[in-house]
Amino acid sequence: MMIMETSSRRPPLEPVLPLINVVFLLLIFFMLAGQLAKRPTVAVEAPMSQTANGEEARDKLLLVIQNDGQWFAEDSAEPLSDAALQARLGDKPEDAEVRLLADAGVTMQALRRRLETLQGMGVEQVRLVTQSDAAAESASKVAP
Amino acid sequence: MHIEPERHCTPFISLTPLIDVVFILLVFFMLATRFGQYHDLPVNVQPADSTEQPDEQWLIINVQANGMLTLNDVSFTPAAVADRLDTSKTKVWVTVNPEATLQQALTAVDAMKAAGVRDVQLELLP
Repeated sequence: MMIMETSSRRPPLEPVLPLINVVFLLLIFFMLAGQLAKRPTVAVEAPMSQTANGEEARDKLLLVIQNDGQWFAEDSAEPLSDAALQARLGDKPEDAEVRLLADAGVTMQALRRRLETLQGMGVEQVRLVTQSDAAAESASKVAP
Repeated sequence: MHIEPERHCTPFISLTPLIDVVFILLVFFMLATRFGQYHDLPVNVQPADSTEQPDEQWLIINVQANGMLTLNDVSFTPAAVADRLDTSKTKVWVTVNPEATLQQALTAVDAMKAAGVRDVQLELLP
């Protein structure tokens, strides 16, 4: 007897379902565990620090300092000039709060030069952006 | 008139578009999310003469350009801070060599805090 396969037979779904499950789990993991944030145009590696505990003030002016000492505005790939910085600080630089995302490899000499520039423009509040290892941080919260 | 009875069969819904969308979302979140926690460290930009200066209560430790720490002309690594420091001294003034990197300075501060020092001041040498 000859059995003919009908063309209307549905494709089997079973092999696809575990894949969808895994992809959904990965999606939920990335949605919950990570945080979405705007990244600066110039990529630098923030220094690691386990002791800095200040809240991240995302609404403040962020300046990026590369490891060669050049600095940039958050949204620009052009090196920041003094005039451009003055314009970004506005009329009252003493009220402006500046966040410095300095590369971990920048020398303290270069950092000091940038801080002196900010000080010369009248900026009084500066914050250094540091990153902490998420795993180490959660462990320290658990530890008594 | 002959009416065929309704066949009870589940309609076939293709999962391919769903998988496509979920994959695109997954790739987006993988690329756009970051996992490290960012924290701000306040910096005092006041002139040195208007800020606190170390007195005899402070233990002065220097961070060298190679990341080693120096206390009373003795060099040691940040990991050895707990062995080298007098735990009764809770105030440490860290001066940083201009050629040292930011990471080396913060590693030194982390080591002090981990060793139990409560008050750590970081000063950038000119």
